[in-house]
Order: sequence, then structure tokens, then C-alpha cells
Amino acid sequence: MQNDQQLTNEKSLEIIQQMINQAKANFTDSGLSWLLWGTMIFLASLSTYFFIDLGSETIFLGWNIFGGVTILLLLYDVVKPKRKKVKTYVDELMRMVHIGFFVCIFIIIFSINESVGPNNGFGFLLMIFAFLMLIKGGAIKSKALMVGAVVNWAGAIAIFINKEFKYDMLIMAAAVLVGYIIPGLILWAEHKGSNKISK
Amino acid sequence: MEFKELDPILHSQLRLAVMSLLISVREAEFTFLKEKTNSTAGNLSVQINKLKDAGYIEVTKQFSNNYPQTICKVTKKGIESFEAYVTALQTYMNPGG
Repeated sequence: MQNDQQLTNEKSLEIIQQMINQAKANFTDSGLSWLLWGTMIFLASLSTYFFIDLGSETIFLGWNIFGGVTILLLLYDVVKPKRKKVKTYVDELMRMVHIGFFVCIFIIIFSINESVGPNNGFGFLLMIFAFLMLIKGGAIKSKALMVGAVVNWAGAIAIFINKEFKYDMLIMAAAVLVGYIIPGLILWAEHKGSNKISK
Repeated sequence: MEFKELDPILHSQLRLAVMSLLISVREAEFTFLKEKTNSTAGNLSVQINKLKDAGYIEVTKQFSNNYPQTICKVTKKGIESFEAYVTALQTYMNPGG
């Protein structure tokens, strides 16, 4: 872009529109974090179901591994070098939403261990997952994430109604499959597709 | 119908493009502006300095992971001037409106 070109009023409006659209194109999500978290929660839920079914004593082994990996990933996120060319208002808002999300998750996990118990506690987890899906889905205009939010809220209600814990884990796995893994795959495919176009 | 004068600082292709980008984001690095406006580093640097001298943008130079970074952010005065420019532009586009 040169600066010495005669600028007409139409051209001015065109530049404004074009640049605002260019900035808007940065509100994207590669889907990788949805796939990563979704797969971990999916495997932890299924492992608990099978451990209960097999009569194992270590039914929460999958969740303990998930907890350890989560702490390591969060620590890595704090210390990893960050170099972003642009910070949008949505980025700033999402950072705060993520902090609030993880604080809520840790309080729910604490409540599961202290008083609420696993029978209902996992329903609260699905509730908060759905909240994040709705916000992120709205911000990046992903219908898959918004559908995932509805499914996770439905899953939370199902967990509160259901009395047998091992089936809670199947509900959890199904909700996470629809709310995290499928939207993650769709976003990943879209991200790969848009990268190919821009190359 | 009175035609408002177009701000000469903004009525320039590259400066207007930079301001339009910065209006849409919280802050942006020099390399982002260069990439999106498809301009040369030298020309962009000159135009950014003009916007800075007019008080329309803030420019911060810093180091991040041993890399020099130039961060640009629109100021309150910049937002007001941009809005006034768009309003003035509308009077030219819709003289009867």
C-alpha cells in the first residue's frame, strides 16, 4: 500500500471496510485445545466407567492422571513464551473468562472431594463446560460449540437425575464427545482449510 | 448542507488503513500492521510517526523474548478523530441526508 495515491471518498470507505474485515479475521480458534481437553476428559470418564464395571479399587485413576496433566499444562501456559502480533478486545475478554473458568473448575473439584460428592459433582462440571462452550461459540460463531453447550447442560441435568455413578461417567463421556471433541475436529478442519487458502 | 473538512492526517491511504486496523483491535505489533496493509517498513514507520505526533496513536517499543517489538495502540483522541472523519465522509457521500 502506498501513501501518495489520490484518495477519493469512496476509496476511503473501502479502506476502512477492508481493514476492519482484516482485523475481524483474527478471531479464530484452531480447535486444538478443545481436542486436547476433550480427549483427556473423555478417556478419564470412560476409564472410570470400566474400572467400576470391573470392580477395580482405583476407579479415579484416570481423573488423577487428568488432574496431574492439567496442572502441568496450566504451568506450561504461564511460563511459555508468548508472542502475539495483535491483541483484540475479544482476546482480553476470553483471557478473563478462562481464568474464571479454571477457578470454577478447581472449586467444583474441591467440592466433589469435600462435600458434594462425585454423584452430583460431575453435573456441575458439565454445567461450567457448557458455559465456556456458549461464550467461545458465540465469539467465534461456531454452531458446533453452541450445540455442544446445550448438550452439556442436558448432560448435567441427566447426571443430577441419574443415581448410579458409573452411568454418570458414560453421560460425561458422551457430553464431552459432542461438546469438545466434535467441535474441536470441525474447528481444526476449518483452520487447516483456511491456512491452505491463505498460502 | 455543510460539508465538513476531512482531517488531512487521516485522509491518506496508509494512515487511514493503520487507524482502521487499530480501531478494531486493542493493540497491534508493527509487523501485523505491515502485513495487513501490505506496505514497506520504511513507509509504514514514517506514517506511524505522523499519527503518533498528531496524538492519534501510542507507540511502545519493548523487548519480548529477546525480540524487539513495536506496539501501536489508538488513543482517545485518535478514536474521536476517526469518528469525526467517518462522519465528515458521510456528508460527502450523502449530501442530501
